[in-house]
Amino acid sequence: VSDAETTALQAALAAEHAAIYGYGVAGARLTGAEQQRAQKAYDAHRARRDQVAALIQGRGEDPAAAAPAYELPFAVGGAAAARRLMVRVEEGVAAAYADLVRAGAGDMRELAARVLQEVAVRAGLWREGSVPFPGLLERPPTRPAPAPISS
Amino acid sequence: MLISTYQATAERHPTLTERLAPLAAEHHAHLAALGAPAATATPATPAATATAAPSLVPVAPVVSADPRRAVRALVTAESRAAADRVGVAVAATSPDLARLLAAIGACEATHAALLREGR
Repeated sequence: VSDAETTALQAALAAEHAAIYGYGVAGARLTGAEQQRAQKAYDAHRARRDQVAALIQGRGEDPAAAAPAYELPFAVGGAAAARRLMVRVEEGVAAAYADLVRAGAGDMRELAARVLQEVAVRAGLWREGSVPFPGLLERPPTRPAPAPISS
Repeated sequence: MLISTYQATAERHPTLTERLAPLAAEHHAHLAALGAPAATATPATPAATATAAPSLVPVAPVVSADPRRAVRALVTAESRAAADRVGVAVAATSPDLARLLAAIGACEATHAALLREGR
């Protein structure tokens, strides 16, 4: 049990709080299958929030509470902006779990690596594209002209 | 290994090239980040192998003639790679390397999902 691990868990919890808020906003702008996908993601984030909060409590620390409201990075007036917002919040969550991979060991690291995959998949489906290093802010996608597959 | 599968799939199904190229490019980025030499489709020069021929020669992956099956094979390969990365990340002694490996696994899991969804 390291302090770095607890700090990283608190950051993951904060990211989950933000994601839950973001999905609450974005989900209302979607319809049909996309709304269902957003609802599933919302439920997944709530479950992870509870799991991470319990892990923090298990270390004798107080889980950080959610903020009453969050500043949105842009106006979310329609479905396209809603999808962009969900990409943004999932990327924030991915960064937190990537850091938890680094701070954690053993089971904690394994949990963080698995959650990072789930988060990256959701971001990718909203983005309709991938990034090479989900969660690694220091390695942003370069998006060059696609290289030919045969090198 | 994934890169050679992408190469073989695109060669067999040129109509998939546009869809697969960005994913293959990300695998090249993974190799570069891990410090591996860039993968190339061409085997080592005969001069290099003349003195020390490898006992095991890489075999080109077999690609289904059905493009949908070929894509499904990529989904399977990406999913397996993503699952394997978790264990490798847990075993890594360097925390920074563990984080990088986990991110690569997350990219592979995303590839599998995008290919499965037909994107």
